[in-house]
Amino acid sequence: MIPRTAPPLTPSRWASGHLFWSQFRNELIKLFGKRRTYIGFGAFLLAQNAVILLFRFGHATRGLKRQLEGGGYPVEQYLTSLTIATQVVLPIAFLLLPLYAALVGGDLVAKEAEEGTLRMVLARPISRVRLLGVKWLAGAFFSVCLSLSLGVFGLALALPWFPFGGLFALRLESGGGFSVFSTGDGLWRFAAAHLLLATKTVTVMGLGFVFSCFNMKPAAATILALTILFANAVLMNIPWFSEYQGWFLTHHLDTWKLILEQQVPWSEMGESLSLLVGYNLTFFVIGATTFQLRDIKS
Amino acid sequence: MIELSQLRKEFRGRTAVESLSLTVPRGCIFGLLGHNGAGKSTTIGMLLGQVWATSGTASIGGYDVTRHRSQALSRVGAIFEAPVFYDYLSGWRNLEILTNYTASVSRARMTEVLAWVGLEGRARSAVRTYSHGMKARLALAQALLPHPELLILDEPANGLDPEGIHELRRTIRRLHAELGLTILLSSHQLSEVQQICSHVAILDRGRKMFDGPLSSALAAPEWVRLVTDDFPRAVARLVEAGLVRDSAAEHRIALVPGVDTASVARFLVNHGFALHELTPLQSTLEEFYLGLIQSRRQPPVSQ
Repeated sequence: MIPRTAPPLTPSRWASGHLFWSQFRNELIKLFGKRRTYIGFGAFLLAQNAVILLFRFGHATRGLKRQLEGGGYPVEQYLTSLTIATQVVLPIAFLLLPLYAALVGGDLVAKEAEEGTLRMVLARPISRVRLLGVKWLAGAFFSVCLSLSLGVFGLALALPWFPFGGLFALRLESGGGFSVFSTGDGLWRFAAAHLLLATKTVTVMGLGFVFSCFNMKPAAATILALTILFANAVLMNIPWFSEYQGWFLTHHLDTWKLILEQQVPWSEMGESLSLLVGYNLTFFVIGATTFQLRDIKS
Repeated sequence: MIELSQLRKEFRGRTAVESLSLTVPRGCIFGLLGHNGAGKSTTIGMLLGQVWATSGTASIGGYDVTRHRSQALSRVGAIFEAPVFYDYLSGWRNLEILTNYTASVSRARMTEVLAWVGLEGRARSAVRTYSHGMKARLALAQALLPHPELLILDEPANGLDPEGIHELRRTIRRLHAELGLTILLSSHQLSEVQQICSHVAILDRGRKMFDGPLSSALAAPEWVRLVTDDFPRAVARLVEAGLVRDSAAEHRIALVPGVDTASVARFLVNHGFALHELTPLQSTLEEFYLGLIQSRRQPPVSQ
């Protein structure tokens, strides 16, 4: 079968790169092969559908109409599928999106450790850092898909009930205000908002991932990540702490909303995105260091 | 093939493995024996780079597991106590995933290994539909991919029924004979180990009690079965002559170290005893193991 004194299987640089992509693909197969991965997508479909139907058949559009008429904008031009899909994404991105991102992030390592497959994997010559690297990448890919699905589902579910047209983006935070965009500009902003929303999803997934690298149950990793997130949000919303907003993770997670401002504050957005990159790097380094030092036992 | 040198592991002040030095020769079936908690799994964990040694070194094929893990493990396959897989995926997909953590492998090689373990017909079914025996065979298939030289089996017989144990024993022999693999087998099923291993090491509470060829563990040259016309009188004469130090039931006598059976036979014949049988006894691995463990655990005799 093989010679008794065969040399070690050390792949060349090219083969190692090829293997990395195979390993990444396999992580995706593992992730998307599980039913629980799709809970988030299913919940989005249900929640978005419910809210859109309420907009269509309830009185929820009254406020929007008042705002539009008060600003002198024609209702029929701006009470559109794009506007409704944007209004729907705001509460879901605040509550549901972090929940499912943290759930998947918290599962990535801890679930394998709990089920025992991690021991099988680490009997192989792959380094722990590389293993975490492909797992994080798979988690990031899922996060991007989840964020984009929010936009695609929202638009697809709103289109049968509302006409296609301009975008009227109403701010839900204190301070209020709104922005108005033409159809082309609105569609571009809507797409860009969901791409930027992926930075929030990836970061929350990364937070769950850090705790997943510790010796704990997957549920504990998810709950810890959500606790940090909600504690941040609570502290950030205390009026007396408003001057410290820049110190809170949740403040930077909301960067995606800046693309829906009439005048995009690019420097503020750049600063927040840079900080999110820093947060993600820090999370990964903490997770990788912890995981590297751990004993993996049955 | 495997070299452990002064390997030590502590978990929060509790010593799990203490100064373990061991050599597993290439091409042998090596049994790592010990009770639950003796340190077998911790030793295997350190050997696979899953558990960090507090001190000492472990190497496979000349490569230090801590410093050159990828080279050390590139030709190692491992199977653990309870085979666990991504049960929502097919057997084939599981093999692909696990093998890719070592190297790319051709479809032909995967098919060959699946045929070897007898799973070729069910490779595309989800693992959750497999029986325990099929999962055990899939575990073996993943361990044989891509091209191992060393197979580490951590308590593989746990949870198997007698038929499964028989099948496992047959498979290990085949792996050794047909594929020429070196096999490290950890177990506390002594009769199984006695039937298949050529070398054994015995651990007790993290300490090595014995390490060597199985034949030297089983040989008990000092105990001899003696059948004469008058056993008590023969024993008394042999003790007087300084040839025998002890006797036991079932016509057993313990020779004084350095005395061989030929000397005893000559003595008995010269002194007029009718000698019917004089056979050196082989102990079982269980007797040897229990003797070792009990000798260590016996409290010191008070003066």
